[in-house]
Amino acid sequence: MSMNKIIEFKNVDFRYADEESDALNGLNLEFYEGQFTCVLGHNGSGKSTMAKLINALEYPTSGSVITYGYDTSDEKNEIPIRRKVGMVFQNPDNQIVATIVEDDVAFGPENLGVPREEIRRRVDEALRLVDMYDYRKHEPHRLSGGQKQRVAIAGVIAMQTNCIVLDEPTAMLDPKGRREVMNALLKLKNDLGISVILVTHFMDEAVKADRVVVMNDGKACLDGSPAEVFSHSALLKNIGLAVPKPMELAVSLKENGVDLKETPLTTEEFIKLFKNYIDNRG
Amino acid sequence: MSVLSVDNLIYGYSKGTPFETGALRGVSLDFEQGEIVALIGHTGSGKSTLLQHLNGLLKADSGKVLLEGVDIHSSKEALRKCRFNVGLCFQYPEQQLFESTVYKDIAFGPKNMGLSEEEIKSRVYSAISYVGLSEEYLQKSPFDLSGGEKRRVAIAGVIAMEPKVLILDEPTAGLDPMGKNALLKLIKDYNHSTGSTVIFVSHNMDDVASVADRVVVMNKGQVAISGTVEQVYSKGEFLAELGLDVPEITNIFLELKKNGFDLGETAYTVENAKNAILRFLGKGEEI
Amino acid sequence: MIKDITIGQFFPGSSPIHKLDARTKIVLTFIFIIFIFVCQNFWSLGLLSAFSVVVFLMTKLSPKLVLKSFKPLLPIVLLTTVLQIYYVKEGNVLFEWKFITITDGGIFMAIFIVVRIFALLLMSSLLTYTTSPTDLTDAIEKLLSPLKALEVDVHTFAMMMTIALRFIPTLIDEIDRIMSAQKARGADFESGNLIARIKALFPIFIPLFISAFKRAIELTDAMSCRCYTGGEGRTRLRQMKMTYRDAFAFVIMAVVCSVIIFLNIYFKNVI
Repeated sequence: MSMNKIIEFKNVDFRYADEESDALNGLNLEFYEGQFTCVLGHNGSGKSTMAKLINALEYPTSGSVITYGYDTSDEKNEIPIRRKVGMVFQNPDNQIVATIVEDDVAFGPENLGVPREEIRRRVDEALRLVDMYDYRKHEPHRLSGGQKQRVAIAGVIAMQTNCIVLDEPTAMLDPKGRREVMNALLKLKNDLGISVILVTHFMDEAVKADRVVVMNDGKACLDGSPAEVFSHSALLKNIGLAVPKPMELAVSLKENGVDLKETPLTTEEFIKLFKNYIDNRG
Repeated sequence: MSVLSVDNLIYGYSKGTPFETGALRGVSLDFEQGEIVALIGHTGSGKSTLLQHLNGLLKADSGKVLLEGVDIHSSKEALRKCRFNVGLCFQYPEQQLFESTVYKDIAFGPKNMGLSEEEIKSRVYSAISYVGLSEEYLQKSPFDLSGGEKRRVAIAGVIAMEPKVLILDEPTAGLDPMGKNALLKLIKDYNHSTGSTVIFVSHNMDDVASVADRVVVMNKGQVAISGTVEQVYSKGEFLAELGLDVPEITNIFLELKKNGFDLGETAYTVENAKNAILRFLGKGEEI
Repeated sequence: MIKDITIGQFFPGSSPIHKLDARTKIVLTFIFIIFIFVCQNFWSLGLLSAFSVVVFLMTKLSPKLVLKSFKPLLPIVLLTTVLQIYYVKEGNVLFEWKFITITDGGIFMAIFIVVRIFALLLMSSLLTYTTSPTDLTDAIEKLLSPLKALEVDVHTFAMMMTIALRFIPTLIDEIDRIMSAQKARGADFESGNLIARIKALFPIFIPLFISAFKRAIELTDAMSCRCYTGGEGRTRLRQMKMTYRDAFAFVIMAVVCSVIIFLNIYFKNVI
């Protein structure tokens, strides 16, 4: 299966105006169509900066970022890029513009000059997809964090972008809110075929991705399927990240002579492997 | 005698309604000297409301809060004593920083207590060391620090009041795994070296498992269960019913049990899970 | 609780008044205010006041609500009454003591002005009570749109209003939280002299401003990510529609106004 490249970082350096060191340091990274990619890294690893460079909120100090064929450094490309890539931020309070949920979801399409009837259709559809249709007339400030983030996601869906970038969207949410957001994102990928780039530091979110990229010191240091990436547990621990608990348990069992053969990333996988182990043991 | 206890607290934003988010419907709890208590419950279960009662920011419609046996609302002095002896650190405390230097910000609480300059100084120095920052930070502007450092400074601002009970509302919210572990360690160390009671709110069951002596679970404005970490986490199914997460390891054990592998106990850390499984497989002796 | 404040004091409902187009309500409120000052005698003012009471009854809002909104204005009303009674020296003298002379003319005048103030207040509160802030903003944008010809940036003004309305509750929550946090560190906002009290506000307002700036910066990013480039070429989801109700409201207002003019001419002026 060949995958279409949608975003490409070529030797990107980036430094904030008032900082002494580079936030990105020779970053080479590609994203592909239809993939759910998780970008992991500790605070200050450059992962959020990377997200901002994708849709031209920042420009590389050197090197280039090409999003859907557009060079992000060219100001003319700003709007075409943002029609392709939507973005959701960490703080749910600071990205909702309107005083009523459905008006906020309509904000993007309105800016694009979409006809009214079409906006209506898109807004309803987007709100249904993230399971917020019943709240369409509500005031955003009375919603929970998870609900607000889903409204923000609906706002991107209604713009019909091909890709959505989320910068730690669950960092400020409770477990319930995190689950809601994660389910909405998986639906986005599976039902609409939207490419998802999720920046996070939660391992349990990363195990659900198609691909995991680990960033450290402004570079991508690991890149592959969740199973591949998490097999480097020593390196991950070294840069301040954890490995999924089921995996940690399996590794610890293996050290004590109980080899489950494969490394489980989730509870379900662990149970399956454990059953196999018992069965084979006879 | 418990250092802090609450007796049948009832508090509701508007009465006569079935249950309102953040209300309390008869909460009684005792907090003992020197213990670390984790308060869990989903958003709106009344945790935050309860915390604000503990240092008298909110006053219950009925029921009492006793600090060393004295009703904190019995007099103005009692309330003032409670403010300083029950240090409450809100969620995202870095948002309350306002002074031009870290020193001044940490000194804000002690100053309000009316302490002498000398005493303030010694408290600021010990507070900054409790939160694991060097003294060089004291002359910096709090706004030049990283997110994690700001949070430590804000916590130091509460510690500097030398409260008998330190309360932290979701102290690790928004931190990455490294920052989170460092902060949890700091809480534990602070508790060990000062012998103060620590109460903290968390959504992360693994965090709770790693530091707490006791867990109190709130649901709909009441205490749903309370007990040691083992006691509470062994009720994994009940916690799930309340819409709470159980630690992932506990979850594995619950699933194993459903699949016919009764390991006889509940585990919540990788270490005790490994031991239980090895014992189950008859390999326990090897350890 | 500070959080329970309703912004713009809007009380949702389904009365005929709630259902009127916001533009209609704004325009009619203005006409009403003008006619309050057109009324020159008790007959016309009585009619207009009765009209405002009827409109109020139609909204099905609780009278308590309106009384509450009158309360803060009572001192001003009292002061005006006293001044009127003191200064107006027309008509029969009812009471005289040293430099104080009270005439029936003065008392009439005072009553007249008090009724005017209350009618004015009632009608303008009804506008905000029955219209959501969002509808008000949209209506203002539409009503001011002719100003675009004069290079006035009506869209930006309306957007600013929307954002303000959106963030007021958020910032109120924030003040609440910061205040509690500083109180927990022993801050005292309630005692001391004026200077001490003003100084006590720094620990609240410095964090509040810092956070508001941070919010503004993040909101700017979020808005540009959603392709916001100003009013040019924007379409709108919300559509305002005038219905037969609005036409009906205008007709009634026209009738009331004509009768007032008639009453003004037919009966003697109070003033």
